[in-house]
Amino acid sequence: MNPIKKNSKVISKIIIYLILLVASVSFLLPFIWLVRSSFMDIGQIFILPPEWIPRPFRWQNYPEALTAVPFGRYALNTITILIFVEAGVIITSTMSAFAFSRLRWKGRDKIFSVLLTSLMVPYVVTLIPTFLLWKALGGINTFLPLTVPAWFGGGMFNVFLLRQFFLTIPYELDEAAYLDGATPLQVLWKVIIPLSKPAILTVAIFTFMSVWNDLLGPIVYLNDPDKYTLAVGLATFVGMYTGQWNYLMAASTVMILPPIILFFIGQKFFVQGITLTGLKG
Amino acid sequence: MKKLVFLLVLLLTVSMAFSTITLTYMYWGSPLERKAQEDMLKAFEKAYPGIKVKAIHVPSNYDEKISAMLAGGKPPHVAQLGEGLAFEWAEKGEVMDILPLIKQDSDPSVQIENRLPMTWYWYGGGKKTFGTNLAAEVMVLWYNKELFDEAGVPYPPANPEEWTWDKFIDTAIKLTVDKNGKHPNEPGFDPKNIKTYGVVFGRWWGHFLPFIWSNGGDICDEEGKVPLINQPEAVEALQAFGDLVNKYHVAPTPAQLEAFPSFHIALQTKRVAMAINGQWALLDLGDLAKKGRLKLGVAPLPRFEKPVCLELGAPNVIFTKAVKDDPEVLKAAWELYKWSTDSEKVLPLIRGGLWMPLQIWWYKDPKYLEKWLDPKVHPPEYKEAVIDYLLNYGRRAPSYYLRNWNKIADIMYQEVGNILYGKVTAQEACDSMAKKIAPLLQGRYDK
Amino acid sequence: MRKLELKWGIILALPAILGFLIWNLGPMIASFVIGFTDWSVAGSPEFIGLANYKEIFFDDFIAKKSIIVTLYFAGGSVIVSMVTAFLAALLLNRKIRALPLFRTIFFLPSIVPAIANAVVWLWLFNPDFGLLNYILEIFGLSRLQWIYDEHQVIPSLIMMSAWGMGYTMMIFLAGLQGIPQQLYEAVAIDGGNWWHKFRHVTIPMMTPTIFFNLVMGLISSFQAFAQPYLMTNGGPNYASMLYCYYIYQNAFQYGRMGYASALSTILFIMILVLTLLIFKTSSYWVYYEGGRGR
Repeated sequence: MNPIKKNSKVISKIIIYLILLVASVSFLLPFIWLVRSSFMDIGQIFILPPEWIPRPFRWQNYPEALTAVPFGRYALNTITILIFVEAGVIITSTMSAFAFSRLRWKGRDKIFSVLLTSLMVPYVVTLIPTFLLWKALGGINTFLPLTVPAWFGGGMFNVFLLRQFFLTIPYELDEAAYLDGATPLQVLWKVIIPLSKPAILTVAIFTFMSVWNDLLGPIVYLNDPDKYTLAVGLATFVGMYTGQWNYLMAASTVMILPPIILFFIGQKFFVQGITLTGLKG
Repeated sequence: MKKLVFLLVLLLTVSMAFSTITLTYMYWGSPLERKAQEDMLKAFEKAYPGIKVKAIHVPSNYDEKISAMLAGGKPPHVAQLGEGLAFEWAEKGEVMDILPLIKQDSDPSVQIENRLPMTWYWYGGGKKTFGTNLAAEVMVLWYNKELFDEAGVPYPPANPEEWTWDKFIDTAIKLTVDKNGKHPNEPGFDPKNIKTYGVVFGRWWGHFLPFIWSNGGDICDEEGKVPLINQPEAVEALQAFGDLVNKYHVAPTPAQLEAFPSFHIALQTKRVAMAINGQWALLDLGDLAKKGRLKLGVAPLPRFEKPVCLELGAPNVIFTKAVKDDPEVLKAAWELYKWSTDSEKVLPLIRGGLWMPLQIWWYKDPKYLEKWLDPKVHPPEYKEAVIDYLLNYGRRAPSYYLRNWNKIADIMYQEVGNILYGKVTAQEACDSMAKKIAPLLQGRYDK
Repeated sequence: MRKLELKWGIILALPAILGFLIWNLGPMIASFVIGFTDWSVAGSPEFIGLANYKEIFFDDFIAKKSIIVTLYFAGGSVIVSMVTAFLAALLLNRKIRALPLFRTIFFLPSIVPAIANAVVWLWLFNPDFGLLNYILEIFGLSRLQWIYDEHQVIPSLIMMSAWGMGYTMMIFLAGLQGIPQQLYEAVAIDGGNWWHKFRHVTIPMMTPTIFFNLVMGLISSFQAFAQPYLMTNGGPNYASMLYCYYIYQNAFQYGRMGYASALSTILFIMILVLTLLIFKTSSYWVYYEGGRGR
């Protein structure tokens, strides 16, 4: 390689890193802004031009913001719901994705594309009819409406993701297992699932996020404040402190933390999961 | 004979102890309101041992929640409800007409003539009512006395007749200061860098409707059929409202307003000298005053032709479906309804500043006045600036009678926004408003 | 084997099929039927034929504005997010140090909960104290009103959604990494430069991924609701009245469930038609390599 070419390569490398750096900073700025405001006195937030370092450092915003609602109780409820939802989603979406990708049966692809239309139905539309259904089933003021649907396929988006992933696994593996006399269920359990951990974890993380974010569901279906979830608690809080940006920022930081922590813990698998969700149509 | 009486009494007591009725009561509000509501309900349960109340506090998405409950055929027995939905559902018979119950009851706290007349919601040709507001509420002008003292400007008069629009603008100009200490009427004033604004207000109807009325204008005619919002009186008032922002620079633009801390913090931190807002803001303002962090003052809204005091709020209602099958339940729900709207029973919320009483004697009888006016919370001029203002110049909001009010209010919100942003003249906005609300003007609920 | 697969296929797919029937098809049909009634969730629904649709198409100026605004937002946010995501993925698809770090940074915004997202952005957009105007001023540019101006509100919301493009980027990155190196080498042997590589290898090989992101992005942006609900109330002057928010307002604030249901049916048809259009045209521009699935 001649020196000129090498030089230009170094320069292009530097340019790329520079672009990356600028882009990263701009993507991170909102987070930095959020965290710095969450430690500020309300007065300092309104100083122009804006300041970056909280003076004084008001960590009390956090305890002050978070003692408004019984967070312990809400956390317990959220975790209870999470466990049932995660189990339901993981088990049934894996099953369905397997059926829609690795078993051949008549009408499979047609049914799958019909099922996919459920992605196009907005939540506000089905809220009342679904509520009436739960009413008829006697599920009001229980966790059932928030957990049971997870056991019916776990949402088509998840099925779709897993199916995409399963399609990337060579079919020879299944065939070998069938030759050894395995049943489809055994193939799913022994061949597909061990290879699909990243994808399943991805689904688990998405599920966590949707439960964590769900505000309307708990409010509509639960009557006892004792049964409320963390999202409801934080929403109460946001409604209460309109304009008190330092508290709002503190509460928001608290809300963002769990998904971020979870992402960092599962990062390796998560990235692999999304990455390998294959993309062969 | 004595034995028999004793036995009967015993039987009654026992049956009462065993046949508890459980009612559901649904409400919104901040944790402070929640505490007061819970105390109110506890006292109720104590007074009525046969009745248990299950309270549902819904902090957000209230409309979805109650819609779903009603659709499911199991609405709460008694609940707070937005006026729009309340009328919609009352006409369908879901929200109960309580007039017959009132007529059978001798409790003075619920008699028509004993509550502020404008707080009643009438429908069905004015022959039915689902009750009154939870409490009386009016729009007023809050101010920070310290800023007035520092600037050497006299406080706004507590007598609304004396508080003219010109005086108001003059006061606002004197109190508005940019970062160089200049006022809007001085050369070199920098409207982009205002340190203290003269006045702050919102853009929903409660903030501008009193001025339209005060100038002799209205949204529509008395029948609720013909838009009048584009008539000169209304246009003039809205133009004056917009001029506060765009001509005199004494009030923040809607965009700057978004940057504001909540207005009570703004008052306290001297970002603003006066604020048009609801009486209910006294809950927060009074708290600051109590802690000695704000020297709070209150005045009526400034007037054009004649002073007007806008009275508004939201009702407590009984749901028909929840009570119709069992007269005992109905009776219990009725007791709860009365209790929850009896100012005596919710006194902490009233003394704390959030609400004003419903029953007339609270306003007239000095003994009662003393009971609900907390000198640490209510400023000294409150009696004249708020109570007398309401009693002498009070006018009920259109939300008490006009059909499609929510939708009309949304349209006005957007259009008045355009005026405040300085994008259109009031005339243009009002013409557009008149055109848009004309098909929605379908009369009144009470006629 | 066939029979076995059929049996197990149906058994294993059953939960999803049942779930679809119970929680999607059922409510959808219910909503479709309610769309022909005048129902405020109180009393019994009254059949009024096509009156709701007539009102939507002929009398309701908000509905019309809302459709335009939603198309603008959906189109804009899909294009801007996809371009941002694609560029980010291209940057990351090189041999660079600290790739996981950069990838994490670009991805993080997409897992921020909606409420927190709204709180943060309200504050960033703040014309007086917000960070964005501060940055503009540092560069000597004039301040903007962001979501508080009729013409800037949708571009602002689009920018906000571009910030949350992390998931799309990950998919693109996956697609890029799946392109066989030999193809690039072949272009290089023919004397092609980076542009030729990009134009004749990257783009065609990425079409399935672009297709996927396009469909998913469109579907989700048509259903956007949180921004008007939590940030703008559909204003200023209905300029951010996204369709789902308008449905919500009618259903729960004006108590017009029947009308809201009719509005939703129209939305569903719009999404369905658009999706089908994209699928139909896909054979012209999406490149499939070898066989597809099984």
